[in-house]
Amino acid sequence: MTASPTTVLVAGAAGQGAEEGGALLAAAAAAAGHQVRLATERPPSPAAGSVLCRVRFGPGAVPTPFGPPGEADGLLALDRLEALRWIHEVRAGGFALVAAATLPTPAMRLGIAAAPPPADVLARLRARVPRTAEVDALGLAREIGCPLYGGSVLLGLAGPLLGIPEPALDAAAAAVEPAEAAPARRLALALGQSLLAGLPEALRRVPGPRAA
Amino acid sequence: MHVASGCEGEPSGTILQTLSALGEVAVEPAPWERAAVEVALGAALAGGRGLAAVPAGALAAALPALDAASASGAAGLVVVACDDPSGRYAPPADSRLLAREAMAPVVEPSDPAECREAVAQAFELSERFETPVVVRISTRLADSAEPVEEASRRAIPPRGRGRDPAAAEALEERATFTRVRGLERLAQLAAHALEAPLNRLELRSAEVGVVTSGLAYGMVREALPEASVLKLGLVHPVPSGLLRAFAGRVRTLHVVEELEPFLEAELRAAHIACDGKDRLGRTGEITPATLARAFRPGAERAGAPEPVPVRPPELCPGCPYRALAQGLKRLHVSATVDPGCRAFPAFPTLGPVDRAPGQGAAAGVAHGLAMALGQRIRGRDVAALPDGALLQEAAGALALAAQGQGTVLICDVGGGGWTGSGVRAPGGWRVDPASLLAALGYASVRVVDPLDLGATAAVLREELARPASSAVVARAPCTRWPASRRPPMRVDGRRCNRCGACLRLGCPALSDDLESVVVSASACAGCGLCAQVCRPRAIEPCGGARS
Repeated sequence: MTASPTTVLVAGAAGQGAEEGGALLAAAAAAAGHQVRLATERPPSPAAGSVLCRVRFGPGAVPTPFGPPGEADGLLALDRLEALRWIHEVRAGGFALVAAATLPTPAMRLGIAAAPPPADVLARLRARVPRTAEVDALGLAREIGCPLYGGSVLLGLAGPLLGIPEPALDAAAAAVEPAEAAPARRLALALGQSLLAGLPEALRRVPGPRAA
Repeated sequence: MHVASGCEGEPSGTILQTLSALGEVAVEPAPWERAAVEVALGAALAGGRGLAAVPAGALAAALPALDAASASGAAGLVVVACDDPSGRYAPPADSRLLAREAMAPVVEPSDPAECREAVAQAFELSERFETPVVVRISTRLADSAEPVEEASRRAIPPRGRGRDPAAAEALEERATFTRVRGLERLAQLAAHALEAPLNRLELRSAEVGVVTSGLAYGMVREALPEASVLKLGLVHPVPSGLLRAFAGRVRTLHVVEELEPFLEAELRAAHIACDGKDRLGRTGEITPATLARAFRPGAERAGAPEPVPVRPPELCPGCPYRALAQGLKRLHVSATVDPGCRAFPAFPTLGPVDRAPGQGAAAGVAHGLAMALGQRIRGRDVAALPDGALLQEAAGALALAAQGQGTVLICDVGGGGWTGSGVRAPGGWRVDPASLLAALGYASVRVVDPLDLGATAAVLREELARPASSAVVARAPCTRWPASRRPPMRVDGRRCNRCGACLRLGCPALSDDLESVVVSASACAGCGLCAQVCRPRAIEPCGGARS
């Protein structure tokens, strides 16, 4: 039996740091000795729009960064709406870590549409993926000085769930450009790890490998 | 390689930046695709190696240069073209069809590691068969990453090259000569393709076989792990013999390729039974979901997506295009616009976009419109173009429009590019739009600051009333450049009456928190447009009012 690659989606809106989080996860997986592929879907304009990084890794061959539909193992979302947008791609036994933030869409800013209440979003996410938790990743990132590190906070929390050892995360912090941001990333990863104890027991359980 | 040229945009900008960082290649950005290929062709004709990189969907603009390269028997010329099957970033054109038109072979890698190998092999093919070679990638492949071991690079001295024998022929004979030479070359390449390591046969099941190429290969391997696969890395000329031999070893043959049924058509022309686009459709990207629907209906595990509010592309805070859209909105003009920064025509609340025919087309289309409508559109006819269009397709049409009575509006972001926001190639060219427009014959050329709404509207009003051609250059740097940012704005909540005038600008830095409009200090570029439309004067720069 060979283990199929682990698939993690890192979602956000432009400017929220999803690309940073995806690159960091890919670098950490590589540092842990995995084969890894990363694909990024960006909006055509840099200011706004959904961003999605698909990271797939495993000890064996990873033929493509695009995994089978509905079979992603984890979702790290920097925004509640983006979590909702991609939750259908996550398998029911997977997990979702969602930043407690909602970046308003243009229609919401104009007051012609309302953001769904956070409690409703969380309920809809849990109906799809029971192992879903909301954490203040962007708040912690702002404490470091930049919301771009929200992805690093989520990854610090997700690392143990994905079986990525701490030294690999530490190495990844310096491997991603710009290297000068390594100290801030390490701080963000540590803040994320500190949230682990607060997660429900069911979410902290590290899943075993799935058969290919 | 010795010379690399390319245009602003993706993935060409990143390719040039990467090559520039090596410090071993003469790298130069070009104002348009045709010029990029011509510069690389010059390097190849000198006996060196030249690479041209064109942005997504833009190979068509370079086709005359690719034709010329093919006719010249250029050795050592590689053109990297990028297709966008999604249509998100560029029209979904198929580079294979354009390369076939130019009788140029096409190499198609499947992943980032293969990209490096593909370029090396493309140069070898180009030198061996004396032909330009197109390396076809896709936007998703350009946005993919994986650890790739750095290969050792070796210096290749320019070969030196004699005169092209075709150059000595008279024009008529030269056309025949180069066509015969091109056909002979394709025949030699087709024979080479039968043995080329770029094409790979993976025999598994005798039941199902798949012919595929590019990024789709990895998805096919995962979706149909038992299937035999013919992975084509050299997709033009199509290795018909290889296809026929493969088809003879499997009972059912599928073709999985993005965009046009290029390989499928070749199989069908050879009377080889197969399916492809009838299962997968002719539009959109190949994804695991499309493969699952096509080959394993009912097995897909993903449920329907949740209904989620859309998050459309937007202009950046401080973007000069937003200011221009506001100016045009106030004047009730008939606007023909180029895409420019991509969100410009995509967000109708920003301004009066009546027509967006395509990159570089606004000036010519608006001129033709004015010729047809005459007095009915006098004083309302505006063509809006980014500065990047000036030296591209638009220059000829601008010269024609200078003979009319319309107004052209150039958004000069100061970088000689379409938007200023993409990855920028190092170095760079710069043409002063005002000088160029004056040289093209515009009766009046005015320069304005688009972030000054009142002054811009006044100048546009004057120029629209002018009974001759006029040009307005709206000059403000792209807000993605750090130097263009100013201190952020702030809202005095006691004065804000939540009228919504500022929110209608569509600026991502502004939102309504139910008591007052608020400005995100981290997102705000300090352009001050919101303050200009705020009647209660509730918005001002942090640190006090600007003089």
